[in-house]
Amino acid sequence: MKRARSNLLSIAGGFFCLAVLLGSGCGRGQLEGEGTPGEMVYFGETSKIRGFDPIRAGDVSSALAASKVFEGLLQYSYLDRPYRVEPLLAESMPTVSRDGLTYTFRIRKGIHFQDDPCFKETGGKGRELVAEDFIYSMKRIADLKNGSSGYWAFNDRIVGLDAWRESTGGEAPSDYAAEVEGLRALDRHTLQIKLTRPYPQLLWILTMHYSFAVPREAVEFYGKEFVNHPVGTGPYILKSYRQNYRYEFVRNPKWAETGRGDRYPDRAPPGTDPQLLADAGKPVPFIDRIIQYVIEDSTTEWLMFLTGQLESSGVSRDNWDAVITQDKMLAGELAARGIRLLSSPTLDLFYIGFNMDDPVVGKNKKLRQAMTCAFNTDEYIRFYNNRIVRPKGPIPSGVSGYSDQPSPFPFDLDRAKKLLAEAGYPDGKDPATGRRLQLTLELGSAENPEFRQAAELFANFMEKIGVVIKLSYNNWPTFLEKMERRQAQLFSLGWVADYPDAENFLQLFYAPNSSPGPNHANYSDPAFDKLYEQIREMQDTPGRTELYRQMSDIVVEDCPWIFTMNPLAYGLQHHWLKNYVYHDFPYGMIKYYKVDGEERAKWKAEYGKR
Amino acid sequence: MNSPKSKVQSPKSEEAGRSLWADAWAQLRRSRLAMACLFVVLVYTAMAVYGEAVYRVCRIKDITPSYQKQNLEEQYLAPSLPSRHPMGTDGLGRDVFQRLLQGTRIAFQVGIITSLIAIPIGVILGCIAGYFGGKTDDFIVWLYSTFASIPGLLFILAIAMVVGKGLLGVYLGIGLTTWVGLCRLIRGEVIKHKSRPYVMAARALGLGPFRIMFRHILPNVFHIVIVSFTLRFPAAISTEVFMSFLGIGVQGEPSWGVMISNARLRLWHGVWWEMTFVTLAIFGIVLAFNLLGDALRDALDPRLKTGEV
Amino acid sequence: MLIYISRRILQMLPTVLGVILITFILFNVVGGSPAAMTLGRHVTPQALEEFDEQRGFNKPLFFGWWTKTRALDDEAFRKTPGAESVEQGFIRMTNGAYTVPLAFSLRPNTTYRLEIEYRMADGASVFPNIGKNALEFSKDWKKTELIFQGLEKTSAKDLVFKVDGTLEVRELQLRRKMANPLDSQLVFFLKQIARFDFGMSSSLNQPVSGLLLKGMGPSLFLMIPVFFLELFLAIGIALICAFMRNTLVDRFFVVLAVALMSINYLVWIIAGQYVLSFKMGWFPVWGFASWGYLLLPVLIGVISGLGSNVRFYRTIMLDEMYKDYVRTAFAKGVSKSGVLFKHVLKNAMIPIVTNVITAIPFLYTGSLLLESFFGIPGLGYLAVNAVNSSDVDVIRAEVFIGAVLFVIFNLITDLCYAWLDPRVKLE
Repeated sequence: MKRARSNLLSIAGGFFCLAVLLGSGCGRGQLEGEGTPGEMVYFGETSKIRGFDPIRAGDVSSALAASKVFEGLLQYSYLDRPYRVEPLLAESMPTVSRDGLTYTFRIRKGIHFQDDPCFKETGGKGRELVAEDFIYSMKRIADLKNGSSGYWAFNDRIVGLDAWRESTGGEAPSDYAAEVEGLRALDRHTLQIKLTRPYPQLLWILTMHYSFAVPREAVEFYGKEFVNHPVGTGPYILKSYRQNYRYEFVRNPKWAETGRGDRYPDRAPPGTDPQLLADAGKPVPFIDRIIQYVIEDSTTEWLMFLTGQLESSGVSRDNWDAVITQDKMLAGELAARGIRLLSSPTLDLFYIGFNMDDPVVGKNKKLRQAMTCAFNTDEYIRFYNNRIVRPKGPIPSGVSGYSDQPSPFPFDLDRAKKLLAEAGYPDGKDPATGRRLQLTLELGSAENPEFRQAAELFANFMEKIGVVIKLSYNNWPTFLEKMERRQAQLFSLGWVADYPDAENFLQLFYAPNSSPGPNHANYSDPAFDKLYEQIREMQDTPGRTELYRQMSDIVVEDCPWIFTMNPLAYGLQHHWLKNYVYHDFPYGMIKYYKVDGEERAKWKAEYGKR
Repeated sequence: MNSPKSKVQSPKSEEAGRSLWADAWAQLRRSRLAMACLFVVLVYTAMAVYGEAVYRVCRIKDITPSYQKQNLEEQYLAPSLPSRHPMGTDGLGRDVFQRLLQGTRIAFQVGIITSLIAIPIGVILGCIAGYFGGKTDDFIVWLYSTFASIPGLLFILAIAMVVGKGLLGVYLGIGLTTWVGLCRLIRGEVIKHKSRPYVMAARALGLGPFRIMFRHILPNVFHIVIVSFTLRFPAAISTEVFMSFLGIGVQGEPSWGVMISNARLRLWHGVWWEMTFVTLAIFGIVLAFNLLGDALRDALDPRLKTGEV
Repeated sequence: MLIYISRRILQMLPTVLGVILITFILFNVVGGSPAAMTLGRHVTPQALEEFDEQRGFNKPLFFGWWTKTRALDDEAFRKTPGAESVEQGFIRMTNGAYTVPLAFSLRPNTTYRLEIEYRMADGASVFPNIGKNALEFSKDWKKTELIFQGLEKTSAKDLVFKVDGTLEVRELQLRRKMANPLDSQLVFFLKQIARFDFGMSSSLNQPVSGLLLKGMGPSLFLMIPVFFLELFLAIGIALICAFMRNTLVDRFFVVLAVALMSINYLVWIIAGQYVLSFKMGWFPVWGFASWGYLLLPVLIGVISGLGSNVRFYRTIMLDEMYKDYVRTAFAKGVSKSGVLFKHVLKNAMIPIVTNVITAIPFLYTGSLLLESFFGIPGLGYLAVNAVNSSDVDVIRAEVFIGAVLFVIFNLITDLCYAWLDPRVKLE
């Protein structure tokens, strides 16, 4: 359901952010002067950071930034695959009542917020974290006046929260003192959440930035400026920043002061690289200082990397074939610099959706199937230089419910033409007009040349069967508006999983979620909807997985989307960055990374600014 | 220019007019540089017309035009002669030369349509303000000084943002913000002409103000419009390139700005041709128009030199 | 003098009002509420309404009693053929109760107006929950207005049509009545300006005024050197040209100036970044850390503006050279350079000063392209980002402040004239 996030990714054409998340740094020693080796590390971000308020961090880079400072009750375990949640600010996993409706969390004692002038009562000393903080933070996200884009995570789930949300509209200030039945602090360190109906995904939700603990004092003290003054319990604090340019984080001194002992995981599933366990059980975080730059232009970033002004970089599609050899190894110069290439499949799904409300494409299943068949998988993959896989259905690999059956509509021009004729458009000719069928593809952004070219390639595929695709570029807001008003015919969009559960993908086809909900194809199938209502309250069982498969099959047969790609995340990584492993939800995980200062200094001396 | 059938003969201006244009042409003919520029402009115009023809024909015939044809086998071919791709190909294997022609078409479209928006606004408001004076004049002066005080590029971007991306935003953004200079000049000229005998005579004959303005005064100040057109054309082209590069302007069509933005991706790897040819094309047309505009200005009205047209 | 100053300030006001009006028309009238784009896709109409309430977008534009509400979108059924509940462009209801769901409850103690365009051949329709009675019979399409009070939560969440017979509706509009017809978006905007409150940036989630203050520094760091270097270089070259008028040197500079003017700004930047920074390694490619990082952008800024400035100043000086007093001076036997520096430059000062002072306000917005290319976190960069993310409040503020600065600096120029040349006041 996460929207803003998926949006931003599809703007970026998918890859760039991912590539950069992969432990690539955009740092510049030369900018900073030389510190003690190992003391700092430079991580780069390519998209802008939209402030540090967790409830407003709708996109990946803002959420990543906020997750350095704030923490939630739970977190993903760093090394475990398949993904699993573990307690972070909670003492242990919650106790859940038998009906699955009441969750009780014990909150860790002795966790303190960082020191900040907003804590006036204690003279600026950070106070202890209590259960009320979570209640306050969840109410904040519900508060209509805050206009948070994240309320979907709690909407219609927590007893009394929706009513409280209603009460915040209008002119009167929102009443945070009002009790919400579903959110109660049983004592200072016990939080009870009551649900309106079973919601097995709640545990995933509680790892997300929307559920991070925010101290009320800071929100009230800084007001509108709170976005620039994060005050949290996390491993780092924001030391200084320059909007849209540079952010500097340093180790949170409160951790040492209060003796907080979070440790690197000491267990890992079999098959994990043993190097990842070298620091098992050691206290985190390892890195003292983090500098982030916002370099939105990928070409600039790449030039900086090549000149040595940056220590590392992501790799955009366009530079890919020049950098990577046929067998996916790094080409000469980069390999000589001691840079490693990492790759990992992601849970991101990109697609071209049909608006099922549209009189032309919506009512014509054969047409949609024909277009699916006309999509030239090999060429598309080649365009992306093998950095994607073509998904076969709505559930990506790595999530239970994924099926490795071949797609029923593989690339096949003859079959596509046949289907198109059956659909009523022989050779693409629309009998009503005598001209080729023309469809409009709505796109969210034109800033990124790679994104633009991919769309042109798609148009090219369709042209082969005689369907003319008119590309309509919008800026993001207009695009969204067209989605909401169901004015699009075809649209190109991506979905970044909110949590690793097929439910998160299948809800995109649930009829009540139609636009303005996330089901922008406005797909509606009674059988599918019935199954969805069944699975969304089920715990993880083989039976549920089976239902997932059935639902996936329904969607694949109907073709409301052309599934275009699951990107692989690729990034360049230096040998001096340790403990790095790709994670789809890397929020707060920077505390596990480590920099080998000596090796880095050596590397810099050799390959830095030439 | 002046209509000989008009009831009021304004011999002085007619004669002056004729000789003004003839003189100007003679002076232009003498300048080899100006003629060369005129030639360059004509060549570009031919390219634009050809591009438009290709575009139209492909639309009517319902086929994909060659400048959009992709061929991943022929990515980044370097230019070579003789070959099918004299200027090489881009990242999707599309012919750079064909795209360059289409870029010319779009540049001309922008230049012409923005002129069609801005020049009538400038001329009509300028004439009305200058001729009527008084409250009307105050209002129009107020209007253009307000427009003049808004930072140009930001204003254009803001209009494009509100109107929506794409060519329409470019047209309106540039068209609605660049009429001020012309309006000011025309107003000044009209005020001067208002007290000339031929206008007095026309008025004495009871001709309507609009008839006097547009049939009699306008032909005498029309050279300003011509000079203004030649000088604003390259400016509009440059702005379009800039906007398209930022992703606010033209989309889905090979505008020069879009081409520069695409070409930049691979420059570091030695793919120089798309960038080079596009920048040369822009340089050529802008230079030719600038020089031609100067020559025209010198020939038609040397007094305009310092004024912004 | 004082009278003159105050008169000029008074004359300035209409322009400022004009600027306010134009920005308002552009962003509020043509643009409209940015709520949907700000709040993201997963948003309820109630959240949108709340957003509009906070930013004044749910008021009438200029003045008026009635304003839109997001509780019920205007439904023109004839414009949405194809939807299933709709036949031939209207909704038909026969015998029964039909609910038109409202997105959220109407405000209590507020008057609403429901406009219906309908056709009803027989029967009767009543609206039990808003206490309104029968629509009149009408064979042809007919518009009618129902005025009612918003009720307490319990009953007003939906509009119920109780139809006896057949009712066809093809247009439905709900409007809310303002307590005060002057409580409009324009007034709201004026109040905001008076408080120097420029709203919230939707892409960066923070007050615009803070962003502007933070961005002004880097912009000035970049633009002030560009400005002065360009000024001195341009005047210098123009003097040389004037001095050596019609020689080869002069011709050379004139052609060079036109050539420089004709090179696109983008090309300067890309070529500079690529050749000088990347290939040659003389400058950093990107960043804003020390003065070294400003060298290349400043260089590009100067070069790209040089051509037109040289031409401008040269023309001004040549104009002066043809004047009588210059001839007299020459006749008196004053040396060429003496004439140039003592007379020409001095007299050309007025147009030069005008040009210079009126250019100052443009420094504040910085350079859109230079900043976004070289990562200089100034106002130009902010503006480009804002345009790309449709951040209305930021653009509006920058346009407005830029214009106001321009007006103010114009005033300063005029005052300078008056101070230099007392005759001006008499005009």
